[in-house]
Amino acid sequence: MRAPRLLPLILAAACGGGGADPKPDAKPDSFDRSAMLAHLAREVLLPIQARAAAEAAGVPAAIDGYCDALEAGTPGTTLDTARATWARAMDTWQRAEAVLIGPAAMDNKALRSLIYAWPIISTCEIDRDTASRYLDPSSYDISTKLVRVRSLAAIEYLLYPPSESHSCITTPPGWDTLGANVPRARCRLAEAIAIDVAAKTVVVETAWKPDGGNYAGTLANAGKSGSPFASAHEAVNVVSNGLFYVDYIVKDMKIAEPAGIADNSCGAVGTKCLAELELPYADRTTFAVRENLAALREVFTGTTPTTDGLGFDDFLRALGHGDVADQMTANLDNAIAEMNKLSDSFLAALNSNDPQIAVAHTALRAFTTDLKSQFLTLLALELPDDVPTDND
Amino acid sequence: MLDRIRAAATRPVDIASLAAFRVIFGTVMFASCVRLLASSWIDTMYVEPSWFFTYPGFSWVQPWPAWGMYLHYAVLALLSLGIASGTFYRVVTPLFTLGFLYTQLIDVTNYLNHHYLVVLLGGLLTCLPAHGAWSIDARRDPSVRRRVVPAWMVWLVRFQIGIVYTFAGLAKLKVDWLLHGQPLNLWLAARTETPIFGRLFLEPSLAYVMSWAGFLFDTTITLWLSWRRTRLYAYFVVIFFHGATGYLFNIGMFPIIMTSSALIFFSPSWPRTLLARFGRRSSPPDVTHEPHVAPPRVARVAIAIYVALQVALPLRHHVYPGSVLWNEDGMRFAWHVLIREKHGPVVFVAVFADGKRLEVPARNYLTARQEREMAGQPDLILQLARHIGASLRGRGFRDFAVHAETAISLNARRPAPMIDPAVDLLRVRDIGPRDWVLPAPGGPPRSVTPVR
Repeated sequence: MRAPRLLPLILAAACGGGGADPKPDAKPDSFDRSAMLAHLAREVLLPIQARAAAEAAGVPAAIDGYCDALEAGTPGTTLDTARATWARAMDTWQRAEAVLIGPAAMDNKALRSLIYAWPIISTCEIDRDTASRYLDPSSYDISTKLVRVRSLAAIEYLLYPPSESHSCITTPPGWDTLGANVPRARCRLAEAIAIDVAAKTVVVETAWKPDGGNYAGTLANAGKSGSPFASAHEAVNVVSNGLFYVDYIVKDMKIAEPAGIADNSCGAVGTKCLAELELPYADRTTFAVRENLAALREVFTGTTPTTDGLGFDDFLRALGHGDVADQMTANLDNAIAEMNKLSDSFLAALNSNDPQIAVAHTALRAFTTDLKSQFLTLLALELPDDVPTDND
Repeated sequence: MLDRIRAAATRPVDIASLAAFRVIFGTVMFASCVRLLASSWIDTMYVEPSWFFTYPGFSWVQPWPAWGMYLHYAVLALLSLGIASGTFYRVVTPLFTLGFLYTQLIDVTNYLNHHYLVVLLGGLLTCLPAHGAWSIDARRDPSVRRRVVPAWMVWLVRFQIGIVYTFAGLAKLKVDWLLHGQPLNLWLAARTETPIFGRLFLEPSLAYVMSWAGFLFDTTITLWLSWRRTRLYAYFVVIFFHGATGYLFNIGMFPIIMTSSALIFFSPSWPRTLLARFGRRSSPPDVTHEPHVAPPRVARVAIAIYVALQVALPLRHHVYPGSVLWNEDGMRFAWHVLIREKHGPVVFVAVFADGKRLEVPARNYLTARQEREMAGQPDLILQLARHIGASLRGRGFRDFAVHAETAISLNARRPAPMIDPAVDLLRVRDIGPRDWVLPAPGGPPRSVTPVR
């Protein structure tokens, strides 16, 4: 115990020394939460938003090219190009989604849902829009549409339709008149949605940028005068909340539920439940999870291919718990490695009951166990979605 | 000796401190209810959950619909005003107490020590004639008016407040608290940005100093408040202590309830002394000719049972095996205030006769707040396991067991399994020793180095 050292500190604080530089004998200030926030916001998260916006910007043109080619009767490889462009946009958004904080997460994830609404999607209503928009384009106003018929998820359905037919119980009005124009109608609707998605990703990026909403600056300056955060620690908790996407969404919803590892809507135990599958038409679950984990690692470690700075692992080290930082990083790397071993086709893995799915799930659980226990405890952080009520 | 105690207990004393206690209690409860109504916590606690953890024998207690819960708290606020003003006191006080008790019985995860204290104090006030002075009732009805009450009535309230402090102190008599400064080390490390005082928290030894200070304060403050020569100084310490803890931690109305309740330790005429300082003369009653009043036999028995319960309940964990911080057996109703930090995942697994496993996330049934509260409390884990079992059976599943895979970090120790993963929780009976809870992790807790 070092109680005697306390007296000078108490006196210093009592004399208004709170804002002064640390005395030479004060505890070295070996970590700065604000510096971590600034690095993560400006060097990791903002570039992710920028890439998402850049990739989404290319989708409307690619789909338009496919639509034009369809209408000219010479589709050639334009569908593949449109799909590849959509897939790149989807992958980059999966990175943004993996640590969903800030503008896209606000108002109950309103902006996020306009960009990517999964698991909310209504293919029947998309089919209805397909027919009605094709027959009367002026009647279609995307701003009035619910998220279940827009976003990258709707584009997936439109670019990878499971059949030429509709998915409704009763035929949507006007569907029968489409005849052979169904692909064209779907393509033009996809284009309209893609334009909206691209615009929304720009809104998110702008809200992060210093010359826009400057959310990156808001995080970096948390706790300072005028900040909406009472302290930098509070902002650290917001970023930490974003990390928990890996637990409930990635581990449980994306992997465990479709594989029948966790309770699901099919009542399947140990067998597939396709109703829970993310990106079922394009079969890109594996890619999505890989991107999720890659972004999670960047935020956890503060390290990207182009930059290296403070992350949560450094925070743990500063508090004297480098062992926990090493263990969590190793577990995350192991989960990434196990996901890389999994077939690119998650559907194929499900259909063959590939044990590698369970292996990847277990590997991820090792990371989330630490995340939900000693990570929160040692960093004195709260669980996400938790409401701070009274305690005693 | 017994005769002297009996004489002292039955002697008449000024009713002023008891009446002031009533006024302050009612006012603080009014503020609490308004605070709750103004926040989103009614939704959080009663509207958003789809399922509630219940107390044994009280599963029939269910929340009103959302509008009903808001109305309920609005009525509680009005009843609080009735208590404060002493209007229809004999009706509003038990109604408030029962109404508040109802809000606590709905969901175990809402348990707070100071809410339990509110129920106890409301119960005591229900039985005491605290409306005999400074009340609308007394102004309206001369038969209600009193200038004195027997001393045992004031003693009973003092006893209750003393019990809270003393057992909150004894609960800190633990290795983690006294020798390792945990969990204060964790909490202070997260508060290094606190204006003015934050730099102090960069000093790791402060957690030890505050742990010991908290322990010494809680265990001895009743003594200092009871001794006339130290009472005033002790009360200033009470104000400082509760002010500091209220500033640093989210403990709601607890500091205000305790600071105002501790006034009961002052002389029974303290409110008149205070009023006199503000120029309001209110002479204390002449008690020399007032008769001594002993409680009737029924009341004596009731008081004896109450006192015995208040002593026994906080001590009961000593007869249960294992660490109360870990198995939480005897944790509630025992004034174990802010003495542990627990985090960790709880994964429920249904294991079927053919060996297949199905993980059932607690989030499918609970809000994030409920899940957080459940994670550290084995009896709640058991309740949810049973509910999951019933839910799965309702969906047509048969021949399965429900296990819980836990990895709980206690006071920054490495995560350890808390529930025996081999035990089928559907076969566990929640009476007797909790042998389905694994032993607490050994070794000292880890500490963190505070940083800015």
